[in-house]
Amino acid sequence: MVRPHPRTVGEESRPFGSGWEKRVVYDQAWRRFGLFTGWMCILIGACVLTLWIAAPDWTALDFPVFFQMKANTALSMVGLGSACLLILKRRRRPALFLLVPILLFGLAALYQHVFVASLGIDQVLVSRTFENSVDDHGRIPPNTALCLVLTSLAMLLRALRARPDWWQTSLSFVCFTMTAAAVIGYMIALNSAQDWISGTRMSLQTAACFMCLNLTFSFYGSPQLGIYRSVLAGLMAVSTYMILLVFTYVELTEIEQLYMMPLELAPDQANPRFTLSALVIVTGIVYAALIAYLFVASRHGRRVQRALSDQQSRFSAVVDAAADGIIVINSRGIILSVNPACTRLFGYSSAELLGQNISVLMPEPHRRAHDGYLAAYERTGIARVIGSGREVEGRRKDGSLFPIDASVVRIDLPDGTLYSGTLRDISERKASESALLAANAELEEFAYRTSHDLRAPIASAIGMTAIARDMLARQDMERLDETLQRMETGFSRLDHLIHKIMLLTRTRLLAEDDAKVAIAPLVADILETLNHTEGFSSISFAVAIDPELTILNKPSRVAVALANLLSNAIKYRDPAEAQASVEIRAARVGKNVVVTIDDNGIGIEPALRTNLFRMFVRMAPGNAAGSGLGLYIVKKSVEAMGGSVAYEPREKGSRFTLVLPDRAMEARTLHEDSFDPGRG
Amino acid sequence: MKIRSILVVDDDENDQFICEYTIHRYDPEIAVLKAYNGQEALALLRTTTPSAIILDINMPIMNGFEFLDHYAREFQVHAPVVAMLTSSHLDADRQRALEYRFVRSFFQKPLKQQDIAVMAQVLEEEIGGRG
Repeated sequence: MVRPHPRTVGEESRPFGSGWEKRVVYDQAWRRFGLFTGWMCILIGACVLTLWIAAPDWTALDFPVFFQMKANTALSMVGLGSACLLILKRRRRPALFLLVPILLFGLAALYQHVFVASLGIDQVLVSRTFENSVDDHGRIPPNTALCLVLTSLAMLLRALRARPDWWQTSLSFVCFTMTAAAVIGYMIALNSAQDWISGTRMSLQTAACFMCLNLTFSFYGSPQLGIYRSVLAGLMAVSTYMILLVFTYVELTEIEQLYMMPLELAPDQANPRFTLSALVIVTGIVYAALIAYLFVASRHGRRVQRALSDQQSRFSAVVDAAADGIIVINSRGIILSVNPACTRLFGYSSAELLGQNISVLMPEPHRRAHDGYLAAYERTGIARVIGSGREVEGRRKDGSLFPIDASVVRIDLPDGTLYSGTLRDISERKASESALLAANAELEEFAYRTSHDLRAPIASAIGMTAIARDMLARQDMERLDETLQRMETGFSRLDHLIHKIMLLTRTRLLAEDDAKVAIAPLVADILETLNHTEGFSSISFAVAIDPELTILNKPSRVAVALANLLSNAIKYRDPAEAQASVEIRAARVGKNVVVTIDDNGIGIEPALRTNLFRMFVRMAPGNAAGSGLGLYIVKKSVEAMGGSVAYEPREKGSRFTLVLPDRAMEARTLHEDSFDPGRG
Repeated sequence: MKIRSILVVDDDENDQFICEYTIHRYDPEIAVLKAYNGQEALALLRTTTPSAIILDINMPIMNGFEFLDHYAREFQVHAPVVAMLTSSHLDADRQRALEYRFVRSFFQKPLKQQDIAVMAQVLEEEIGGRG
C-alpha cells in the first residue's frame, strides 16, 4: 500500500541526509576489492605452487608461462594474500607473523642479486629445473624480489599501525607503479616493462597480484590520511605512463645500438631521437601540470564540498530539531523530505511519506483537488497557500483531522521548482480560542442579564417606596401594608438572586478533585436541608436508589445539581394537585450513573422548553419567584463533570434526567480490555 | 384627547402593581389592561386597541422585542403611543427599541406620573398631527 521511494532506503534516520556516508560507502567498496585481491593472490599462488610440486610433464613444455612465477614467489604470494585478508579482517598479529618471513625472504633474494651471491634459498622449495627454462632454476628475478620487499614492508607498516601513513602509502604507490607498468607492458608487448633490469622477467600473474595488493593498500583508508583518491589515481596513472614512456625510449635506443642504425641521418635534418626525447619531456611536463591542476582543483572542490556539507549538517540540525513540521515537495506534489516534527504531527513514518503525493496529508475534497491546485498555480501564478500563512486542515494517518497553520515558500532551482511548507498544529490554539470566545459571549450575556435582573427588584422597591409614602400621606393604611409586603417579597427575591449568582461564580471557579460519592445518602441530606422550604410538607417523596450506588466524580457539583433540581420540584409543585409527589431514581447504566427526578407539578410551557438551560430563563412566568439561574447552574455543574442534563415533559409535570459519568468505571474499562459491555 | 386605556405588558407582579397605582393616581378614569408576556399582549390586542402600551423588555416566553416584531408585522392599526419601560440602563436596548416606528418613548423603571404626562402629550401630538 505504501510504496517506499528508492532514494530513501536505508536513510530513514537521516531524512535530510549529509555527505559523509558517501566516503564510507567508497571505503567499503575498497575493502571488498581488498578481500577479492587477497583471495585472488591465494588462488593464483596455490595453483602455481601445485604445478611446481606436481609438475606434470606436459605443463612445463606446453605452458611455460605458468612456471615464470617461481615456486618461492608463489608461496610468498599465498602468504601476502592471507596477510591481506587478515589485515582487512582486523587480525593484525597473525598478519605480522606472515609478513616478517616474506620480508626477510625478499631481502635475501635481493641480496643475492646485488652481491651476486647464493644463499641457497632458491632451491628451498623445488629443486627441479626444466630444460627449456631460460633463467636460473628457482631464483626469483630482482624486480620481483624488490616488489616483494616493498609490498611486504608496506603491509607490515599497515598491520603495525592499523591505519595508513605516508610511508606505507608511498611504498604501495611505488610498487603499484612498477607492477602496473609491467602489466601494461605485457599488453603492449614492451619488453623492458617486465624486464627492466636486463635478464629479469616478472611474470604476468605476479605483476597482477602485486598491482592489486598495492592498489588496495594505496586506496583503502586513504581519506584518513587526507589523501584525495582522485589525485592519487591521477598520480598513479601519470607515473605509470611516464615509466612506460621511458622504457619505450630505452628500448628504442637498444634496438638502435643492436642494429647499428643510428636514426641521425644528417645533421641538418630533423632528428627523430631528439623529437622523441622532447616528446617524452613535454608530455611529462604537461602531465605534471595537469596533475598539479587536478590536485589544486580537487582540493578546492573538497573545501567547497566540506563547506556545503557543514552547512547542510547545520541546516539539517535546525530542520530536524524544529518544533514545526517542515516538508519539501516537488512541482508534482511528491514529498521529497520531511522532518521528525512532521512525522509526529501526522503519525506517518518518514519512509511512509517520502515519495508519496502530499495530498495523503489532506482531507477531502483537497485530497483530490491538490494536483489541480498546483497545476493551476504553475499555470496562472495565482497562489492560494504559497507565499502566505494560511489555516488549512490536515489529515493524520488514523484519518483524524486537525487544523494547521501552513506557510509555503517556492524554491526555484536550476532543475525544477520545489515547495517547502512549514506546518504548525493549531488545534490547541483553536480550542482555547473558541473556549475564550464562548466564555466571553457568556460573560457578556451575564453582564447584560444582570443589568436587567439585578436592577429590576431595586427599581420596583424605589417605585414601591414612593407609593408607600403616598399611601401614608393619604392614610390608606390597609393598602400600605400590602405594599410593604410586596416590598418584602421583592427584597427576598433579590437576596435569592444574589445568592444564586454567588453560587454560580463558585461553581465556575471551583477546582475540585474527583471523589467517591454515595448517591442515596446525598439525596437524603439534600431533602433534609430543604424541609423548611414552603410546601415541602405537602409533597410525598419517593426515593428509589440502591444504597450501595456510588459515583466517582466531583462531589460538590453532584450536590449542587441535585439540590437545584429538587428545590425546583418543590417550588413548582401544583397546589391544585390532590397529592403533589416527587420521585427520585438513580441507577448505573453502562459507565454512567443516571438520576431522574419526576414531579407532577405545574410543568414547563412549550415555548420555554428550548432555552430552558440558558441563564435568566424563568420556568414559571407570572409566578416570577425564581432567579432564572437554577437550571443554568445545574447545566454548568453537570458539564464540569463531563455529563449532561435533559428535560422531558410528563403527562402532568416534569422529568429531569442527569447522566453523570462514573470515573471509576472509565478507569476500570481502560485497564481491563477494549471490550465494551454496552449500555443496559 | 385624553388617554382612555393603557395596556401594561410586564411579567413582574410588583411592576404591574406600581404601574396600575401610578396610572390611577395620574387619572383614575384610565382603564388599565394587564398582560404578563408578549403572547398574552398580542392576544389581547386582537380584541382591542388601547390608547397606549407600556412594554417591558425582559419577559419569559415572548420578550419585548419579539413582541414588537410581531406587533409590527401582524397588525395594521397600532396603538398611538407605545412606550418601553425597562430596568436596564443600556443604550443598545434604547437604540433598538426606537427603531420601531410606533415606539415613542423609552422610560426607566419605576414608572412615574410625569412619564404618563409625557405619553399624554405624545398622544396629543399624534392625534393633532393626524387630524
